[in-house]
Amino acid sequence: MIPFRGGWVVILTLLLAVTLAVMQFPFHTPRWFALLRPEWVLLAVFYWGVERPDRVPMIFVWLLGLVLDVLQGGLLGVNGLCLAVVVFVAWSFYERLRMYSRLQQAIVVFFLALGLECVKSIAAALQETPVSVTLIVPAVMTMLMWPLVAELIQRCTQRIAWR
Amino acid sequence: MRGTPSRSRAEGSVKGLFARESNAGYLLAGLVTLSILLVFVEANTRFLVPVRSAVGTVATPVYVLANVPTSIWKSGGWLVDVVADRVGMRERITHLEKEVADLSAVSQQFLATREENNRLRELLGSSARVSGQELLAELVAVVPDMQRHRVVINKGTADGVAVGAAVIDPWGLFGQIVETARMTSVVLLITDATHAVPAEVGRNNIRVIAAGVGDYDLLLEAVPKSSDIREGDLLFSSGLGGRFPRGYPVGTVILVDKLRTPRFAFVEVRPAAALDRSRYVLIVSQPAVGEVE
Repeated sequence: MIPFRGGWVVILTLLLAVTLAVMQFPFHTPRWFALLRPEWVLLAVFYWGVERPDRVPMIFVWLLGLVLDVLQGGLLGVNGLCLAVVVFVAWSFYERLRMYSRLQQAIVVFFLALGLECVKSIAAALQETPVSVTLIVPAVMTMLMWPLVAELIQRCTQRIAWR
Repeated sequence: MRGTPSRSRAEGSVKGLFARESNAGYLLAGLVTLSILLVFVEANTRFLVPVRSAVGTVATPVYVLANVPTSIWKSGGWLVDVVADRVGMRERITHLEKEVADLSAVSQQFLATREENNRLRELLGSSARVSGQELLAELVAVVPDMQRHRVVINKGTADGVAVGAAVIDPWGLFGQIVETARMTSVVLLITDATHAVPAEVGRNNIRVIAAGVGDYDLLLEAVPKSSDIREGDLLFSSGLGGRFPRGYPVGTVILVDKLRTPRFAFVEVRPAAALDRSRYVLIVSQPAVGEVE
């Protein structure tokens, strides 16, 4: 068994997620539109953490979080912390999570995303940036995107030889 | 005797199963501690600036990738150039040529005025104002957070951009550089809640501080109710504080309300720069004057 066989798919998905996370909206879109952006990276990390726990090293995900922090202009470590927790949850419960329906998984995703938004707000408060009161909107958007994203990744990658 | 090895094997396999999970727990604890440490160090000190810059340099391709759709679709972008018809292109060229002619007429007057101004300053015994270097940059990303008014531009330390340089767009003061990587840097807009710019009213040189609040408009800080500021007044950067060069338009006063707040007048300013629309900005590096901080 080659430990990183098929790992490129994971890396590609995560890269795509990071790109989506910083992609700008066309000009003239109102500012609140930014609220509707789901946490793409969280979705991708959670998907692969559940589906392929052996291909998602926690340290790699943490480093990805650092990159995301720099790209999004937040304090270093915020996304790293939350994504590491996401991987841990996925690692610990992947057998159970796989048995869940997409809807049940979406609820787990909602709470993970809500946690991420809370940590982001605390960090923003440390930086003296005004704290967004609408924490729940990105979390709900992330939850709503979960079934779509999960199905999409599954359909696209089901033919890949993992070992 | 026969049961012992098999039991120990079973125990071994169970241990093996849990060993990985407990490792994960330690790893998580370590990373969480490290993250919290990073957050606090960065919130309170400037030790991590080089780390940030290095990570930003590594992450630059992501910006480029994320910018591909807009660079294809935007007006003047790749696709538009390829499929644009001849008439449309000719119209655009005529329009641009007219604009260049208009602007060069203005700049000729400006040169004469600057010379005259410097002569007058010499007469007054004050030093002539030296204009700094300017560098054209293009927006490559907008930081995707409603609370943070930051954008990323495609010039970095490799082009000589330094933290603290002022950024303007064709209409007025845009922001300042707060982070640099090798090929990109991050601009803090003047509307960010952590930003304030020293300005003066064009009509009567009243000095004010225009602070961002994280919204479209700026608020003037601590303006006495008796001060002569009216709606429609133009604000220019005053150059005090040494961060921004003097004389760039900051915005227009759109609301003066002397009753809303108890001690000071409530003055709202609409920024002159097209903060949410400009794609091209100029980085204006100051000829070294008293750098603040």
